[in-house]
Order: sequence, then structure tokens, then C-alpha cells
Amino acid sequence: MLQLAIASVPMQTFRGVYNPAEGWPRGTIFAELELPFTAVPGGCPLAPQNPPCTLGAMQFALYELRLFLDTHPADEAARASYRHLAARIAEQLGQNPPCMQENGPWDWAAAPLPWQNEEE
Amino acid sequence: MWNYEKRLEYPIRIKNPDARAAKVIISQYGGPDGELGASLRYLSQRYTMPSRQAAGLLTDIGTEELAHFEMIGAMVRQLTKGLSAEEIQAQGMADYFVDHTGGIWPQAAGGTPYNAISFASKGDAITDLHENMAAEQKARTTYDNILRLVDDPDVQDVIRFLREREIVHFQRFGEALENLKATLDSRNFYAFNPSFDPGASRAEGD
Repeated sequence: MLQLAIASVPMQTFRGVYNPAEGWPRGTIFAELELPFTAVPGGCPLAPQNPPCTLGAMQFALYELRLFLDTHPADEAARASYRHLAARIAEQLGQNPPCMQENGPWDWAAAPLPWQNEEE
Repeated sequence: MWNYEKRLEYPIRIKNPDARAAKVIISQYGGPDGELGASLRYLSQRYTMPSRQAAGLLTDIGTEELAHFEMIGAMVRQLTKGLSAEEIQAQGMADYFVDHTGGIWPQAAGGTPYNAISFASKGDAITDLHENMAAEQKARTTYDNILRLVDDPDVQDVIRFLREREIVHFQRFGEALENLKATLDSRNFYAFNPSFDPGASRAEGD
């Protein structure tokens, strides 16, 4: 709800995302946040055709999802996306798949931050 | 506590050195709206955020800004590596070279050393989040300007990535502000400082 005298930014809704390989050169996996600087010739990304889905692309996409979840910790679709991508990354790194627990690194509310000695 | 992952958040492969480009890009290393300042701003503000989620967001974005700080340093290095002193002088970077040779040092393009005056950590979550939104816009405009000044596609590829990150961060800080507002009395968001005034002195309904 808009109020006077304070900034207001709508909450983003989780819709589909770019696959990691397509999102990576764009700098975001969210098409609705992709707002290039078209005022200069170099402003728009040269979209490669069928880019390979590398580990780096997936790690970027995971961090994007993490930031989204930092402000939308209860979003089920985003959580599912995060867990699915984390599993793919673990597989690529030859690690055990992460526990499919309810919460992840975005769940800051569950425990105090390291500098908080009492229950803040 | 921080770990280090031995990778760049986005690959940087600049084939052609260019000290002229390095000279302007270094502003995002140590300039007023650069990545170092962004990182210190967010990592400093997080201690007084009233919610753990907001502190977490600032931690995550502040950490990503360190990764961007690394990327800018890598770009300046790739843009100046292998140039002779004569080439550096011809390309307009002699005044930096004399003090740093090929070293990377946080300063603005105009030479002002990195200065914490470039950011605020005001100890008021509403103020700090607005500061952060403005900071992301300033960084975006700086990247716009770099895209105007540098036309090497290897460089533009990375600058476009970093610029888009600023837009995403702006959105997240705006959302953090919305989440904060939801915990406050909408009749007057400015009745007290949510980072400072203890619960007892806040308006009823907190």
C-alpha cells in the first residue's frame, strides 16, 4: 500500500526464471528485472544461442535465488527452485546432495546473527 | 566469518589491454559509488537492522559486492597487464602509474583515494535502506557511463553484468523496506527509530 513521504517498491512475484546459462550473461535470472541500457550500442547483451549450462552459471543462479529468498523466505516456488538447483550443483561437484530440509541459508530468522549474544 | 571461493562471479577475459578504460573503470574499485564502498556500507549497516532477515540480506548483498570488488580489480589488472610505461603514459594513466606501477589501489577515476565518507551507516533502518537504494542507482549510472566510454566488447560484457546486479539489488532493498514497513505503524513510519528505540518506547501495536 502506498503511503506519502516514504519510498515504495512492489514485492517481486516469483514467476519463471531464465535457465542459469541464459541468465548469467544477463546478470539476472529474472526477466522482469532485466532492464538494459539501450542508450548505447553496447547496452544490450549479445545473447548466445544455447549456451552451455556451466557450474559457474548455476552458482550464479543459486545466489540470485538466495537473494530473492532473503526478502521472500516463505515463497514455496522459490524454495523448491533453490533446492533443485543446489542438488544439481552438488551432483556436478561430486558431493552428496544437500539435505532437502525445509530451510536454507535464507532462513535468517531461525537463529541469532553471530554478533547477537542475547535473543535479539 | 568469510570463506573464499576461487572463482569470479562472472568470467572476465579481456584480450586487449587499454589503460584509458582502466582509468575510468577503477572508479568502481575505490570511487564514491564503487563496489568497495557498497560492501562496507551493507556489511556495516547490518548490525542495527531490526530484523534478522534484513541483516541477512545486507550480509548476502555485502558479500556479493566484495565479489564485484574482486571483478573490478581483475578488470583493471587485465587492462593494464603487459603495457609498457610509455604505453601507459600515452593512454593517460601516468599519474596513477607513478604511485602504483601496475598495482591495484582503491581510488576514484579522478584520483581521490577511497573514502568512507562515500557511504552512510545511519543506525536507522528506514534511512539506511533508502541510502542503499540510492547507492545502487548511483552505481548503475556509473556503469551506464562506463558503457558510454568503453566500447571493447570483452569489457562491456562484464560491465553489463555488474550493472544489472545493481538493479536487482535495488529491488531487494526496496523489498526489505516493504518488509520493514509491514512491522511499523503505517499512520506514522517516522514516529521512532526502529533500529534504536527499545520496544517499550514504541507506539502501541508494535
